[in-house]
Amino acid sequence: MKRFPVTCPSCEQQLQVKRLTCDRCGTEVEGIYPLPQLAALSAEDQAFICEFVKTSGSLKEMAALLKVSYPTVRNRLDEVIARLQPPSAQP
Amino acid sequence: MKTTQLLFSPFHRIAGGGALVSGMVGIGLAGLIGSAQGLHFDGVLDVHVGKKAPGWVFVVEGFISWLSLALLLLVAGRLLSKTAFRSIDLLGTQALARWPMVLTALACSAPGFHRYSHALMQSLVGLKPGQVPSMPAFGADGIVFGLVTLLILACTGWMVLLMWKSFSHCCNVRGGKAVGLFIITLLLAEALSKLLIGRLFLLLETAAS
Repeated sequence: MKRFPVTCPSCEQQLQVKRLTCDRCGTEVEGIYPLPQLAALSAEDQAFICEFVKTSGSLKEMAALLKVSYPTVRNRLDEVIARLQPPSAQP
Repeated sequence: MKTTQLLFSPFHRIAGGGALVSGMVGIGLAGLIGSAQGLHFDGVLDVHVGKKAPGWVFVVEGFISWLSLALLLLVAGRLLSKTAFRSIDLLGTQALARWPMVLTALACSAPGFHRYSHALMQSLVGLKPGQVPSMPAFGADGIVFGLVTLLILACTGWMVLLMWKSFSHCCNVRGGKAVGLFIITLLLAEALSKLLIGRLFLLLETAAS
């Protein structure tokens, strides 16, 4: 399966959207658009957030679902939160 | 779960109420096995062959040792951690971290360990300053004593590692500051537990007289 690239394979800088296409009529829009915050996360982080939303934000349910302990899920969430912070706010 | 993860990072999978119950069972078990041979867990890091006492005292010593460290680490975690961690996770995993003491208690019941330990103590009793002790003969009992001592050291090291992992994982803290605070808290908890257990024996002596 193709993975949605979020960082440049050459210099690891975060990628931006340059071209958008309408699948139905073929219209193309070109420009420089930054990736939405969630889309800029890794596929693993995005999957984690999806599960988190599906469990109504219950860390306890997430822990049962992932078969790990509560603090493990809490720490994983802390990592995602840190990645969502602007670089200036990161520790 | 891989064996190494189970032995050295069990808190990735186990925490909260489950860890608390398992940990308390372990503390109780170590105390009971210890009571049969006069083995006291009289401090956060201590294992000593000591004087006889009612069976419940051995169990209570373990619980005092666990709570002394767990409660002080709870305060340390609240001061240092930037995340909203649950107290039950830290209390439970700290209790579970004391399971190596069950192994220690079992190892000390090896035949010959107490005989050599007693002989060693006898050779040191009444020793004047500068006097060289006459060590007991190093036979089969001596070998058992040496091996058990090594195992006690390994189990104590393993327990401290688990205590640190519990603190680090539950409070999501790492780095030099966290290690420093853990060591200071461990030393404070050791002093606190010795003080409380000392008080317990004082109360027992007062009640007996």
